[in-house]
Amino acid sequence: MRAGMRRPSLCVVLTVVLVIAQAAPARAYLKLGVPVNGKPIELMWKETPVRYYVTDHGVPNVDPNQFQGALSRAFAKWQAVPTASITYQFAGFTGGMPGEDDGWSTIGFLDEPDLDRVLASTSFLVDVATGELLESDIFFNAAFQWSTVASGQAEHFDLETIALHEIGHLSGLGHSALGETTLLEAGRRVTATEAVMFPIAFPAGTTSNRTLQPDDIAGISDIYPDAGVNEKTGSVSGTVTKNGVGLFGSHVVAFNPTTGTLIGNFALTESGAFSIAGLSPGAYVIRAEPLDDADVDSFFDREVPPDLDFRVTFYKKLVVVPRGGDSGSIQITVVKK
Amino acid sequence: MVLVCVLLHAARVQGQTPASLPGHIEVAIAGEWSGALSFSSLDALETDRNGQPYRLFATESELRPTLGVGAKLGIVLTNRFQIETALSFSSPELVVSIASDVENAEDVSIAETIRQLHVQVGLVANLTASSRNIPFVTAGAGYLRELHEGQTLAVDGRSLFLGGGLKHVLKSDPDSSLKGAGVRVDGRVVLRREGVAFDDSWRLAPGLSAALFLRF
Repeated sequence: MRAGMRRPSLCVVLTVVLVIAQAAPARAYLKLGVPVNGKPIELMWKETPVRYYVTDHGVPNVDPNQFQGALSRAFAKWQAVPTASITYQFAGFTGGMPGEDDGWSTIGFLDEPDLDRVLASTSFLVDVATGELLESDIFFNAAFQWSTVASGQAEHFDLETIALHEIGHLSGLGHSALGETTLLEAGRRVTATEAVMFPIAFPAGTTSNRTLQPDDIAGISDIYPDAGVNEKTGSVSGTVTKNGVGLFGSHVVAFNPTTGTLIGNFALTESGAFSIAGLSPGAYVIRAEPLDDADVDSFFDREVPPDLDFRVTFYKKLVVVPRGGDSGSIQITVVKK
Repeated sequence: MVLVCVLLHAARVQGQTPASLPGHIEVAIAGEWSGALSFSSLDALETDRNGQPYRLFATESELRPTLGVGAKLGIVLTNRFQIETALSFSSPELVVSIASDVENAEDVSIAETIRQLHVQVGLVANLTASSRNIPFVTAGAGYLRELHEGQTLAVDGRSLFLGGGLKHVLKSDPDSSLKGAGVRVDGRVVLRREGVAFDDSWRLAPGLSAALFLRF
């Protein structure tokens, strides 16, 4: 237990949700952060393994052991990322509930029928002076039907898939914008994605997002880099501008024509600055797009909304990422739609 | 197999060029042209709910044709055979053409300039030895060192080549320190792998060169 180390006056509770349609407001970045004296500080666990408890009650179709098994498989995938150093440990079953400010990171079901678009949510207790994560709870909404069947189950959400996403949050990752959606009357429907951390889940019965993608791996490796990883990988940085001024809120994606990987990040400053780390050395295609495939609140809070009025644009040159270094600042100029 | 047959044929040709005796050294400077080298097509893919690929955009890549300069150093082994090493430098453009963006981005071609150093070692077999015009065949292997634009990243590659050409002797004087001089044209096909290529496949490109050679 780490309750004795906590400083309640400096702690804040944050929440990130995974939804099946448009997202509810949340505070999230690719890397979650809190502002301290006007500067964002990354959220991260200072001590590992991250110990987590699992509630001792299940839901129809998922008993506590099946629940814990699915969670273990999801945790194992994050822990197996070779370029990241974070580790996790199952600490046991508990009668406690997620969301209780008790110093225990607890994962369990809560019946929240009013949250009819929220599949699961991760909350944090954070030391805002240091960005240290002190506690992180995950709840799965028992108002939905869940499954731990290996091949998936019709009309049921795959617990391992959703757990994989929530554990990304628990580890300090925000949402990725690597996905395409179709806007329907009932909300957005995901057409495709290339990141577990995309904020909107596939419909029930789908198990296709059980594998961490390069974007997820780059994110977790950025927060918890394994020894030597920063010397083996590089980054692309630059600015996105429109009409000669910085553009806030664009999603910038680096495509590696050698491996086919897609890794993205956001331009989140007034100057439109962005940086994409964790890239294998090589030549990249850089693509800037507006954040129009999910509610922008899924990605970050901001009083000034991001600029969505620009055309998808490719940077005019191939960008070379060196080993252990940065591409050097590039400027992507976009134009109004 | 073709090369082996040609080399054997060359070995059976009788005659001798006075200015091409074992131990002589031949140096050449060359202007070179390398043809386009197509790399693989690769789509930027996401994954749909059924686990099937969903294309974000499509890419095609190639190394554009380029001119370069080179130098060759050959050592005459016999009146028929010469071992030769060649060093060439060129700056081809690596171009990626992007199309079919799912969000209707304009089709574009983007590029970077590569600095390419190519070291090759090969065997040259003269098909005749007594004429002022000496047809030859050659084959060998090479090493590529390619530097991406900005000179922050270098990559290595390998090559094989097979070709032939003609040497035209302009001057021949066995009694002088300069044993001979002439011009030479080469045509070859180069199989290359790795380097700035986006996959590990062997790729074929044509090449031509014209050189002035001196024999000592």
